[in-house]
Amino acid sequence: MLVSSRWLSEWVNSGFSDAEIANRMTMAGLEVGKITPVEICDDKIVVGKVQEAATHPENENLKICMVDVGTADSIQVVCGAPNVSVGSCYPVALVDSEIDGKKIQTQEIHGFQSNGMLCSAKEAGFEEDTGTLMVLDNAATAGAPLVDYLQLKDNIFDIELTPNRADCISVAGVAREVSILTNTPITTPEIREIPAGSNAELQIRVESMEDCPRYVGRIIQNIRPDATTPDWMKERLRRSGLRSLHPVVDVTNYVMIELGQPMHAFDLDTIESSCIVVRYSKTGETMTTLDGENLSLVEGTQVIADESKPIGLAGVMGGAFSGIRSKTTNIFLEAAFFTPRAARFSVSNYEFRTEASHRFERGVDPYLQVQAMERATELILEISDGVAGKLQNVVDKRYLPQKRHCEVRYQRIARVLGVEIPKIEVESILKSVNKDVVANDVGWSVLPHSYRFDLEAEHDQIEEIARIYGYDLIPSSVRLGRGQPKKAREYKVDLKDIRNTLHHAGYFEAITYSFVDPNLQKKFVPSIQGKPLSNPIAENLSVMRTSLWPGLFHAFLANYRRRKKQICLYEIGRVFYPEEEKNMLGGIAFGQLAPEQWGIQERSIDFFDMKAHLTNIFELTGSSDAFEFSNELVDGLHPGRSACIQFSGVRVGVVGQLHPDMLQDEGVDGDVYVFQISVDDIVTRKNIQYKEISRYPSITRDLSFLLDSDILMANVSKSIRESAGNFLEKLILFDMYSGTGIDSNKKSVAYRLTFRLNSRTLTDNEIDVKISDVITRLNSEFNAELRK
Amino acid sequence: MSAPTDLDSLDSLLEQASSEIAVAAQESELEAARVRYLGKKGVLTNLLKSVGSLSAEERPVIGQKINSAKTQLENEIKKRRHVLRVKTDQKRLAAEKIDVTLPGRTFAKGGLHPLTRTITRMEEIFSRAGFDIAFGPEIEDDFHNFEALNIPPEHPARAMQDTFYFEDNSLLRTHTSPVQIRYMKERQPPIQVVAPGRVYRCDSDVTHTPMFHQLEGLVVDDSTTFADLKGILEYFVKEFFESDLKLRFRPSYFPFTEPSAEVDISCVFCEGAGCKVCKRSGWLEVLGCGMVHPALYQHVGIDSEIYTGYAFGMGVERFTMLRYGVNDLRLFFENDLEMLYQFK
Repeated sequence: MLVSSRWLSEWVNSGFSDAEIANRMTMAGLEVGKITPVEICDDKIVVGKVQEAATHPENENLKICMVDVGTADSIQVVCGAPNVSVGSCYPVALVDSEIDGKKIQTQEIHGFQSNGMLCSAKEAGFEEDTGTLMVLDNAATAGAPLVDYLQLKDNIFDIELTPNRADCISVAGVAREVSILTNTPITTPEIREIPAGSNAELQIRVESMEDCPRYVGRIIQNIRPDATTPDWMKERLRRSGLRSLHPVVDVTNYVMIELGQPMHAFDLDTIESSCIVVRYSKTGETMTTLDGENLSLVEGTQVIADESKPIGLAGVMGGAFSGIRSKTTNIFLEAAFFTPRAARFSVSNYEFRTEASHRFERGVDPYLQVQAMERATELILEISDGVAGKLQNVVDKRYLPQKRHCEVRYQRIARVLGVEIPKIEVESILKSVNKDVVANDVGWSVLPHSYRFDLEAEHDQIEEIARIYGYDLIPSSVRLGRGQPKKAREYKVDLKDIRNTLHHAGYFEAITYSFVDPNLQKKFVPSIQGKPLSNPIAENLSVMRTSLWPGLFHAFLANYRRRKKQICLYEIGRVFYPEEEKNMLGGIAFGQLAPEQWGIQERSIDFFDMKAHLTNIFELTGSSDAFEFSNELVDGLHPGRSACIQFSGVRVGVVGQLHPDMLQDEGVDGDVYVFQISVDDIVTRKNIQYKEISRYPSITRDLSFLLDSDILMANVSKSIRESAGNFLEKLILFDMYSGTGIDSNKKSVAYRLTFRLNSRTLTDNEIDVKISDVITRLNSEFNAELRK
Repeated sequence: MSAPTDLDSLDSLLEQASSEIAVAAQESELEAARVRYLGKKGVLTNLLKSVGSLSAEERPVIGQKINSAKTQLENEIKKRRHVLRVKTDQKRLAAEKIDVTLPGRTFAKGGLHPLTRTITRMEEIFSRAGFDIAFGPEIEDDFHNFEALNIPPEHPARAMQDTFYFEDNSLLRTHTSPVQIRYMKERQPPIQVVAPGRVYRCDSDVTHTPMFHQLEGLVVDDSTTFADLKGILEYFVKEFFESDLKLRFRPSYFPFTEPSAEVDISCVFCEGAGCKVCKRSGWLEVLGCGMVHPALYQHVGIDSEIYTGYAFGMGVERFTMLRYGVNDLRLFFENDLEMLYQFK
């Protein structure tokens, strides 16, 4: 909402600076986003009245004008503008005035002396650029500086109104607030009852009473089509962000800005059968708006119609067919109360908002229509002459919003706000925002004004009290509540520890969108379709993710294209299955294991690096032995290099190398590994139980075998553990080799076994027995051949 | 060598041995000298063996003399050996010198995303003040996201351009506020909770991303007031920015709180003097809050005559940008490692 400070001060003249007024409004909830000064032009640009305009003898495009600039003698100005005419007033830049930093000087133009310049709006310092002279009212005072004539020394408040303050979308409404906030009385302009000059009237039939409980209309006939909007009104509209279009339309806009009542003017001669019907639209009806948009009306839209067809969307926009034209002489004016419900219905169905719908959606004072009609009639008669018909007021009181008394308990105020505001102060605030305030035993009974749609219950009144008393005067208390604070649980793995484990392995956390590209996701999760959004912002962000991989893959690719040599990313977030949201931990890793540096053999990350990263996470549970990896085909992954992960027999995730096809499509060179784990399934933590440290020496033996290459090492290790029994303290697979020197279908493996007991020293003899058990077992089970 | 039995020749022998020990340049030379004089067949050893052949008068005198010479040489050898050892040690250690300015060998360390860093800090600050932490679903229904929060049908905030919808009329939550409703439904006051998480709005430009993060706070108790709300937010903001910032509460409007307020903090970049970031106002708008609207209690079965409460909501991205000087919202979702490196 843009409000001119000068206009406002006619309503409420507080004497405070604009900055102070803005501050008070802001601190009372009418946030002033900025204060913009109106552009000011040079003092030496004055109103000039053209008395003579002779065509240049040699150049017919030039006029030699004699211009009255308020001095004894008129001045001669040579002008090339097409619209210069005798008797009209224009801004004149006198000699020595400055336009855009250029000084105007006396000069000779085609043999005639020019002592100034007639100005376009742009040259006079306005934003508008029409290319023709700026025409002022004929009655303007010649010689008056434009700054004074148009009252340009003014500021514009840009107020960001919250949707509950519909009562403030007008100069009157803002003035009411400023009056309260500055403790200054308000001066309401006198609104006279305009007597009817004729009996002319339309038949008004309101069929949709529940959404239009009041409809005020009036015919005005014989207006002058050549009338123009006075400069003062044009200026006020301009400062309110509206363009001047036609005197009648300008008046309706002016009254809307001034009082807050949206109005509409129809060309009377276009209304069929002298009948106005307010009704809901029927199936199949269409209408073309003033903007030229063809609408197929949704059934139930509130429209203004004549006997046969809709001629306006009620409270939103008029129809093209019935609009005011330059030749219009007879008009029908409308000032109605349309309900917010009906206005919102139209706005949401046709997706356009207008100044009128903006106000109706939020709520217009249901008692304002007659006043607005009188005000508009007066202004139109003043500007365009014409004869006013009878003011028609069609009301159905049943559907007019009614204000009710509400109780405000004095004690409740302190209970909500935490401050004791003196009774007398509360009462004065209540009186300033309500129509009626009556004190009683517990506080007051108050009746809000009809324009305060936001005031219904006690808490609404308490907000008013707080707002006007001042939030900054309410003390702040450091008293904390008594809720149940977050529990510190050791039996659960803290996500923070999982994150840290990954950080130490070189992973950075990524945050990717929860909606992804359906085509990419299909490659990873062909079986579950992601929930599609009805209104996605882009096709590649159109379905909910069922896997973290599409997002991570996308983030990986972006970094790959930035030529990063080590890309390790993880994300913890929801995936969205048809029936549930699940917290997942996903990761992607590519490139060098360690950053480029001296003294370390460069090597690429592989499956076993990622497995180690995961094992470190699993160790946080205190039961890392309960995690098992087994080969499994996983969508999107290399068929020979993918695994399923189980925790105590429950499937918790997958890990593996991305399928080379995926990378080839994207032009990626190198292997990429990914994992995804259901976080909530791996956070149960076994409490630590201290085990006695052995004080006896250990015995170490190394064993080396030749095995068939397809034998799974987890099985071999398991058998060794079983046959070595409880003497075995530690088992390490410390070497594995296949290649030159060994059969192509064999592999050589080497284990180190460490034996130790808590209770006594083991003997070599005992160990020899165990070792021989191991060898026998591996030989029979895996056909393992001991290497000497 | 024949056995010199006179004292004079013993003296000169001693002198020669001493000088050989003193000039030995390496431990091997020193060892050779030791063997020569004191070894099993060394000169002095032999001399000592021959003492028995001397007269009874000479025997003790000469014997003692030889013994003391032996002790003297042994001491000299020991000293010399120590000197030589120190020298070799020094040489070896000097050769082992390393360049301590070389970079340490490393496996790169990763780190948290800045938004998680902020959420974690926020959670910690509120946890210290006794708040619980709660989460809610991101796919919400109309009731929890709107209706229960006093946002009636046809409220402008519900329009299609703001909210992501699904075909079954479920939606992506547009704020973390539904967690308030879910948390209150599950228990009676006293309640004191924060709820961080992802939220979604159908909007994408320089200053909007279709997904972002909020942290919601809710306190409901039998004596909670607007003054308490001011107090907790002052505590939070000062802790978060580790600075004695000023707060400004401005009346505002949210359907689910009344009275409602927007909170400005004195600009963290210019300390309130006025700069580009705060648009010369000295203030930065950082969060919205207010007293819980009584309409909410009706939906969750809490008696608004007995209990009062406050709620607040803040943008995690906004706080992160202010805290770390990140100047483009979209960076948070590009996951550029060059940015993530900076938040180790």
